[in-house]
Amino acid sequence: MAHYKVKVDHLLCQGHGVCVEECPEVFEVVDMETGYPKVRLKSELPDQALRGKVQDAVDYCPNRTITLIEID
Amino acid sequence: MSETTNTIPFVSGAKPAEQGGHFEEFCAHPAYFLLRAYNECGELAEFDMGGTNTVLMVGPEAHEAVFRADDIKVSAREAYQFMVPIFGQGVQYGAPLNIERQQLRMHSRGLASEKMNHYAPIIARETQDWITGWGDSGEFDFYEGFADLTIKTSTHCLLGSEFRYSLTDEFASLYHTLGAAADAGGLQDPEARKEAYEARDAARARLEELITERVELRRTSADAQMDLLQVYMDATYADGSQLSTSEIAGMIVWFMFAGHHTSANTAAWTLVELARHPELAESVTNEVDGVMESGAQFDMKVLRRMSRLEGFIRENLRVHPPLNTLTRRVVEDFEYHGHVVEKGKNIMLCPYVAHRLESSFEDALTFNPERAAPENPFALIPFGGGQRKCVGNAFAILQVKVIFSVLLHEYEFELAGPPGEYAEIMPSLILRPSDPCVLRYRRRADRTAAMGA
Repeated sequence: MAHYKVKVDHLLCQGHGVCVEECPEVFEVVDMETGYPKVRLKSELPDQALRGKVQDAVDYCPNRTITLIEID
Repeated sequence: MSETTNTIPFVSGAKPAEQGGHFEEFCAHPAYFLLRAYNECGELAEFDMGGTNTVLMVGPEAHEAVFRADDIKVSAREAYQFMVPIFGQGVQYGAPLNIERQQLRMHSRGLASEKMNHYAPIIARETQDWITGWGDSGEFDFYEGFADLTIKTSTHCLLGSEFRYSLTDEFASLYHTLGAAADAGGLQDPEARKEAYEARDAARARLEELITERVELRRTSADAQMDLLQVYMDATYADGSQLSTSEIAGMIVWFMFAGHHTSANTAAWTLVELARHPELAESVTNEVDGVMESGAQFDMKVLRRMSRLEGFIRENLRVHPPLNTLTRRVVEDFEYHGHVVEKGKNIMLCPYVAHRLESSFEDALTFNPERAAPENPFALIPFGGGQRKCVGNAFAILQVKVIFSVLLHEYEFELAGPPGEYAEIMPSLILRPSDPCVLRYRRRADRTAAMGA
C-alpha cells in the first residue's frame, strides 16, 4: 500500500479534539496564545498501521480540517 | 487592487432611501429576499438595508474568500455590535479582540469532545423525562416542545443539575425577554424598540444576579463539577487572570443565544422531515435501535458513528439552515474577482441560498440524507466557516442526535396537519417551521410489546 501524509488547515481548526479521541498517536490539541486551541501533528508521516485511525480522524473532524494525502 | 473594477448588480425593487430601500422586504423573510436577490443578480448582489448597502456573496469560492479574509478588515465585530447589550460588556464583541479570542478558547475547551461525553447522558436523561408523561399516543406543537426541552438541556449542561431543577422557569423567562429585543427591527430605528430594550437591560441585570449567586455558591463548595460553568470558572486568560462574574454571565448568555433556538429549530425540522419521509425514517430508526439495544454508553465515539442519523440532521441543516444572514462589516475595501466592496458596506452570506445551488448540490431541492458531503467544504455552511465558524457545531449535532435516539427508539411520528402547514417562516433572524407545528406520536408496536413483556 502506498504511503500517505497528513495535512491540517489551521484556519479551520477550533480544537474540538475529535482527532485526538480517534487517533492520539498522531494528533494532539494545544492551546494557542489567542484564539482557538489547534491540532498539532505528532507526525506528518504516520505509520501505515495507523491509517484506519487517521482516516477516522479525517472523516469525523467536525470542521473538515484534516486531509490524508497519498504519496507514491 | 486591479485597475478596472466591475460594478456589482443592484437588486430591483428598492424603495426610496428615506423609506429604507430593501429593508422592509428583507425583514418580511430574509431568506426568500436573499434568494430572489441571487436569482436576479448572481454571485454578487447589492441591496440597501435601511441605509447600509449590503453585498450578498454566494458560492463556495465567495464564501471561502470572506471566511479567510482578515477578521479586522472584514469584521464580524463591527457588524454585530447590536448584540453587545444582550451578552453584556466585556464579552464577545463587547470586549477587545484579544480578549474575545481568549474567550473563544474557553468555549472551545468546554465543548471539546471529551467534555461532551459528559453532556450526552444529561441530554438523554432530559429527553427521557420529557417523554415519560406522553402515554401511548397523542399530539402537540413540537416547535414549542423542542424549545422547552432544549432550554432544559442547555441549562443542565451549562449550569448543572441544581440550577436546572430550581431556576429554569425564571431563567427561561429572562432569556426570552433578551431574545425578544434581538430582532432586525431595532437595527434601523433603536428608538422604536425602546420598551423592549429597557426590558432587555433589566432581564440582563437579573440574569447576572442569578448567575452570580450560583458562582458564589460554587466557589464555597468543594465539589468539582463537570458543567460549562465550572469550565468558565476555572479558565484563565494568558496573563493568569480569571473571568469576572459578569463575564461568566456573559459567556453563558452568549452560549445560550448561539445554541438554543438554532438547536430547537433543527430538532423541529428533523421531526417534520422524518414524518414526511417514512421510508428514510425507518432506516434511521434501525440505526438508532442498534445503538440503543447494544447497551453502549452515549459517548462521542458511538454517536459520531451514527451515520444515517447524522446524514439526516445534516440534510436538515442544508435544506432548513437556522441562520441565514451571516454578516461582516467591510472596514477596508474588499476585492473579489475584479469587484470591490467598499469600506462601510456590509457583506452577507446566506446558507439558505448557498445550499440550493445546483453547482454544489445535485438535485438541490430534493431532500436526500444520503447525499455525500460536497467536495468543497465552503459549499455547506450552516454553522458559518473559517475562524468565526460556530464553535458549538459539534455540540449542536450531538444534542439533536441524542434527542432523536431517545425519541425514535420509543415512538413513531406523523404530521397532524396538511403538508402546507409546515412552512418556512422567519419572524426573527432564525428560519423556523410555521405555527402550529403539530405532530402526532404513537408508541411503536414493538416497544408496547417490549413494555408488556
